[in-house]
Amino acid sequence: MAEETVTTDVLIIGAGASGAAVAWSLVRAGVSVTCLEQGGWVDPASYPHERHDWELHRQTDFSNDPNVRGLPEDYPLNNTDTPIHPVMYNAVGGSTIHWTGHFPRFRPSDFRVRSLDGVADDWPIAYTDLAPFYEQNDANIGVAGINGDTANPPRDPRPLPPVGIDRGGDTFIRGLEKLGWHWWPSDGAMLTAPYGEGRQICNRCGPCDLGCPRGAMSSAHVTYWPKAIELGARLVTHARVREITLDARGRASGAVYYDADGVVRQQAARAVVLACNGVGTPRLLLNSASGRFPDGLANSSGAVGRNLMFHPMGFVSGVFDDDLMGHQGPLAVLLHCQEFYESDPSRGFLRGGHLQLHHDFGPLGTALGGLTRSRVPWGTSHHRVMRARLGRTLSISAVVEDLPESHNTVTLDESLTDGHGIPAPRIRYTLSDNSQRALAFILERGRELMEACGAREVLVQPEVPDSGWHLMGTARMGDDPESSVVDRWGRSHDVPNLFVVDGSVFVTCAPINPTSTIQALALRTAEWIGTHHREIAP
Amino acid sequence: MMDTLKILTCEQGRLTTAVLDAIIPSTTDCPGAGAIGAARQLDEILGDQRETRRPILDVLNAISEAVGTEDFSTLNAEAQERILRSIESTKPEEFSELVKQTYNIYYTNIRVRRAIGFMPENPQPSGYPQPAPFDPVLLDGVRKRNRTWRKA
Repeated sequence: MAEETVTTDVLIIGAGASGAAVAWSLVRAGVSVTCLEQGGWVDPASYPHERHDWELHRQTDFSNDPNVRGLPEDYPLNNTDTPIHPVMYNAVGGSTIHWTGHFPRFRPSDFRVRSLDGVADDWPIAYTDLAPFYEQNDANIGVAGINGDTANPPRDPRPLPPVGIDRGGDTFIRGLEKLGWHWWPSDGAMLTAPYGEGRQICNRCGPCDLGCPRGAMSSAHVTYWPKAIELGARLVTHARVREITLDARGRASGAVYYDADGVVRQQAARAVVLACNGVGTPRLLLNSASGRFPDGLANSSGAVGRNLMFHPMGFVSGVFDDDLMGHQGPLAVLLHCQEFYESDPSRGFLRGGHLQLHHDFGPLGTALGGLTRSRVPWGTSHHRVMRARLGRTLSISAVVEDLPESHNTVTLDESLTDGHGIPAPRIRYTLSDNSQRALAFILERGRELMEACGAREVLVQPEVPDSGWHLMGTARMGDDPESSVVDRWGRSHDVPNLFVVDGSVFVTCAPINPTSTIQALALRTAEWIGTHHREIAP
Repeated sequence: MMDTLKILTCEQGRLTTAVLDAIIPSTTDCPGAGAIGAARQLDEILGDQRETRRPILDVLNAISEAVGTEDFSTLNAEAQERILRSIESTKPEEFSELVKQTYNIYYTNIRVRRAIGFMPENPQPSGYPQPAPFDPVLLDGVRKRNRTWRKA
C-alpha cells in the first residue's frame, strides 16, 4: 500500500454539496483539507445541451440512476427490495450537477416533530441554530427568491431576484388564487442576475437536470470548489475510499482508497468528515467494521444504515389548450405551494406535503410521457396528441414527508460489488401507511390545482421508482448515543474525530428538497471543527 | 438502401421501415418515422445494444408471421395498425421497447424538430427569451394571509 507523505488536518470523503461546503469553510479557517472524490471533474462542454440528441442522454450517460449510467466511478445498488430507487451522481459537485436547484428551507416545526406531532423524534438542534448557516450558504452560492412569505420565518433578503413569471407561472397563479391556496416564487439555487466569477445567468434553456453548461445553477463544482481550491484545499479525484482507518486509541486516522490507477493508498488525517450521501456514508461506515467496531464503524447504536428516508412523491401533469411554452425555463424553479405543509390530523395522516410547480420536457421527453410517464400513443393519433401536449404541459411534483422507520435500511450486499470489489449497498425500504395516505392526499391536491388552472387533461403518476434523489436518516443526529450515530455537531458518538455532514444525519426530513439544509448543517459542523480541531485532533 | 445493415436482413429492413411509418405516420407537415431513415438507425442500435435486440427482433418476427405472404408495406393504415395492436397485446414489453426506440430516433432528428416547430432545435447556446422581471405586486394577496409556519 502506498502512503501519502502529508498528513492532512481534515480528510473529507465526497466532493458533493456538503463536502464542498465543509472544504471551503475549513480552508478559510486555516485548516488543511484533503478531499477524496470517487468521480472526476465533469467538463461542462460534455453536457449534451448543444447536441440534437440531448434528451436521449437522460436514458444513458446522464441518467440520474447509477444502475442505468454504469460509469466506472459509479457503484451499483441492489434495489430489489425497494419501490423507490436511490439516484445520485458521482463527480466533483456530486448530485448538484444533476439537480434542479429547488432550494427551500426547513421550517422550525421540522426540527420538533416529536414534540409537535408525537411521531418520529425531535432534532437536537433548532431552526434558530441553523438559520445563520442557511444565510451564509445562500450568500456563498447565489440563491434567487423574494422575502415576505407568511409560510416561512423571516430571513435575510436573497442575494438574487426570483425568476420572472412566464405563461406557465401565470397559469399556475390563476389556479392558486382561485383556490385561495398559498403560493410563493420558489427559492432557486441559480443565477437570475450576475453573481460571482465565471458564471452566466440562466437563459431558460430548460433541462437543468442534465447539468448547467452556463454555470447558472449553483452547483458545488462552480460555487464552493473553485474558492476552496484557491484557498489551498487539495482535491483528489477518481479516488474511491474503501474504509476509514483507526489508530490504537480508536480514533480515525485516515482512509484507504483506490487511486485513479487502481493503486491502494493510505491518506492519513487528524480528523475525517464523511460527505458521501445517505447511502454512500452508511455503506462506508459498514465497510469499515473492525475488531473494535464489529458492526460497522461508529455503530455502537446500531443506527448506521437504519431509518432511511426518501421523499415519497408523484407527478401531476396538466395539458392546456394554450401554448404555454412549458418546456422553456428552469425545470423546477418557478413556484411552490405550501398550503398543506404542516400537520392536520383531520387529513388522516401526520406531517405534510409540498407542491412544486414547474416546467416540462422537450419533444422526446413529451413523446415518452413526460414526468407522468403517460406516453403519447403511437399510430394515427400520434401527431394530434403530440401537438396537444408539446409546450402545452405543466407539471407538479407532489412530495410528502417520510418518517424514519428502523426497518428501512442500507446494508452491504453479500455478492454485488463495485469496480474495486467493495460491497455495493442493498436498499430495503417500504412505504409506510402514513406516507401512502399523505401521498394520495397531496396527489389529489395536485389534480385539484391543475383543474383549477384550467387543464384540459390531467395526468397523474402516483409511483415514481427513480425518485430517490433525497437520501436521508442513515447516520442520524441526536444527543443520545444509544439511538443516534452523531451528536448535534455531526460528530460521531463513538469516534471523536469522525464527522458526518450529508443527509445521513437528518432526524426527520420535512416534505421538501434537502440540499439547503444539508449545506447549512455542513457549514455549521465545519465551523465547529475549525474552532475545535486542535483539541479533537491533537 | 437496405443492403448494408448490421443486424437486420434486407427484408427485415424494408419491413421495419413500414412498421416505423405505422408507429409514427407521416402528415402534411411531418415525415413518418420510416421516411427519415429510422430503420437504419434502429439497426445500429440493435447492433450496439444486445438487450434491445432480442425484444425488437421478436416483434419484427411476430409481424412477419402475422402478415404471412402479404407485404406489410402495401396494407392500408387501418390494417397495419390492427396487426400492430394485436402484436402489442401479446408482446407488450417488446413492443413498448420498439415504440421507445422509434420515439428516441424520431424526436432527436433535426428535420423532425424543425417540422414540429421546436426552435431552436437544441436548448443551448441560445436558450429562450426572459420574461419580465418578477412583479412583487403579484404577491399582495398572499402576503395578507395569516402566518402558517409554526413556532417551535
